[in-house]
Amino acid sequence: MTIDPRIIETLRKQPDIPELDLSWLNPKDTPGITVKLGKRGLTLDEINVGVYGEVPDTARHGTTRVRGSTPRPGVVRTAYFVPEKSDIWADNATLIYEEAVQRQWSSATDIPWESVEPLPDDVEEAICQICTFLTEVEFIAGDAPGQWLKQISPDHYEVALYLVTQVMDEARHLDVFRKRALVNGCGLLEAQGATRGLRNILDAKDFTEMSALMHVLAEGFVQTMFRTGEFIAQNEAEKTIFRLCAQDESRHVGFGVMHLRYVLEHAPERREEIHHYLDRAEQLFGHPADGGNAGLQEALLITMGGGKKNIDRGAQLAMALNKKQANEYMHRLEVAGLGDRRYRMNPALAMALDPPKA
Amino acid sequence: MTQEVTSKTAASTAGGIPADLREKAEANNWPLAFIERALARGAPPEVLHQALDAGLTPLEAMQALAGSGAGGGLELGMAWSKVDTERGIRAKLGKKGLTIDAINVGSYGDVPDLWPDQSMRPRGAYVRPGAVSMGYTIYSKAEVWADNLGSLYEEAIQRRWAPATDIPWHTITPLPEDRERAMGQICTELCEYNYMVILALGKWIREVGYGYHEVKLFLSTVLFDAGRHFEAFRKRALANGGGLGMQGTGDRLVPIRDAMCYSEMATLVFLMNDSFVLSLYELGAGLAQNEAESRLFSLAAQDKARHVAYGVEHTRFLLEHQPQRREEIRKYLSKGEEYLAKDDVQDVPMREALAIHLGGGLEQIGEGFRKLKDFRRRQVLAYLDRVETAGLQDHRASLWPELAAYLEPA
Repeated sequence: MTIDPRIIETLRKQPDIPELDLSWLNPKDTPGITVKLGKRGLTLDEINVGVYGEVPDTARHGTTRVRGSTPRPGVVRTAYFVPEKSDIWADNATLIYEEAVQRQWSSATDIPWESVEPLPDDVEEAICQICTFLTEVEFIAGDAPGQWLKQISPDHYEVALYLVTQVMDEARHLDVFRKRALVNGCGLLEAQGATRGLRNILDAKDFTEMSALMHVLAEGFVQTMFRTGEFIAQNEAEKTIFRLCAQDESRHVGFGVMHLRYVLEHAPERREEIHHYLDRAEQLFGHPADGGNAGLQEALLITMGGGKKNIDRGAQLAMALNKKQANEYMHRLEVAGLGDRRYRMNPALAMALDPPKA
Repeated sequence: MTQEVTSKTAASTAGGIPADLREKAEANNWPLAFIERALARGAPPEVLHQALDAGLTPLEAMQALAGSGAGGGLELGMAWSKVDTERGIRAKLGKKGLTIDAINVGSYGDVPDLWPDQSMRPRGAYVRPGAVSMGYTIYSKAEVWADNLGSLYEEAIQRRWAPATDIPWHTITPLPEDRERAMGQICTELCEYNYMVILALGKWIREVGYGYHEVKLFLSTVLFDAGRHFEAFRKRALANGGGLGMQGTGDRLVPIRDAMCYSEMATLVFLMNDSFVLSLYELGAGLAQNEAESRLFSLAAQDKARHVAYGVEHTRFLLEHQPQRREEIRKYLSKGEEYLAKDDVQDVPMREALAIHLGGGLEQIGEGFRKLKDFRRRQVLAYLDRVETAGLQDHRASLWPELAAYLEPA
């Protein structure tokens, strides 16, 4: 913007006006742009144009400077951010962020709680055990992104924005499963405590490690379980809970898969490293030293079978679920570019895999 | 598959798998973990021998066991159903649905003053002995609590909005360049503040123990709000031919960055900085040049009001239960005020942008500066009112001098 010097001269004659700078009115590196609304409104993709859409491969400043704004000399550093885009990026971050914002739901009012009616004691206990497990573990996927947020540079803000939606989703999952356990005459039952598999997620010292373990493996397994919720659910409320949670979880898994793909495309030398993370995670999944997850497994047998007297049917459905979990996990790995994982997957998982497609 | 029980005996090895079964399983590439689980669930070793001899895969063996019609060797332990947790809970739907407060009944609503449990045990559940630590460092209720957490959490979800579609962006029409640039500068710095909130809360949400899940739930909504505000103000800056402005000084963010305990962070973010930002959002709504800005700033203010409400109630709770921390909290406020005042002086672009916005244009910047002084006075008064409501009476006497100067008669 060209500032008319006569205006400045006039202003300076006015009393009580501090010394004016106004240089910020004519920035050199932050051009004016006009964006256009798309079919989905004014999304992040619509504003990522020109210099504002240039995501640097390396974030070099440790301040809260917003990408595309004019740097100010002398600003103190805020944090040590992960500098490399390839360490944290996923090309679908903006899409799933916008979807997450659109698809928020309320556990208080969007679940038809009135459809929950008394169930046989064994089935109600089993549902409550499943809910105890889920209300316990869901927020690990809130704590883990939370501890990584402080390391995401504002130059890569799209990733931070996606992660805050995941934290919000997981809060809602913690909330809704706790509510289900406390609405129909039972209560919370046995928590697993911190298993090695879950602790492994918080222990991760690398973002990709955390994402592979959490998004692709753990949340992938949970998502498959949610998507077969019709075999677990006993009423419309539970069906709705599983459906909405599955919808949320799909975004988390989607980020993890695309992040893994991005890493392998831009840092292919990390392939073996990632396999190493998954080697450990798959081994810890259901580690015998943790006593297995008998509570969840037995509760699934009961709910899927429709009662303790039908655990044989429940066992068949549970094994079908295990098979589905393993195969969908393998599919995600293939999409991410880790198809070779089939040949080094932990045997306890691999035994459930279908043969590879010709 | 038959289930004849033979009299075969086998020596056990460490881990509980008979040696001969172990040897056969390893020769057939069966995972030993699978064998352990099958035995734990009551599958007779003889049955597993038969499955191995038949050349079945482990999965086929399990399916056969399950389909045998006689429990298939699957016996439910059911230990999880016999734990000593409170039963018979039937939380009731209220006018606002099944809220987080509605389920805080019986022992499930007892929020302990201390929660030393380092696991992820949900409050009211039983946890098996031996659960490892997940590293939660906050186990004192007074450090994090506020009585309005449940209602604020539910309200945040009910009042959700999407910047992409809930803001009538099409109502933005070209503004004079000076006003557009001023708006861009204001939006740039609001983006920075909200990103700092994301950085700070991400760190602290992870530290809160599971005994205070209401705190984790509420902080999740604040993170989500901060992300949405960052998004929305960036969109506004880029929507109308202007662009982003100059980076802020970062001074006001330093105390937040440096907070070494939760209450220090909460004091600086929710009680102090958010109070000033709320006033700024309200100003933005009042000076809106179009429906988009009016709605954007109003919705942001609605969110921010919840954050401030938590800040006030948390501080009040803390001071009621730990009155010895009164002076400590004053020191956090004092540090925050010092950096805020410094920021106010150093951040010339923001000051000039606000003056242009308040005055109605560059040529009216003189009038704008006069209105800015009045606005600052209102900001400080609103802040003082909140601090005193929180239990720090007479804070005016402790107010940082440069901020107190705004309260002096003109």
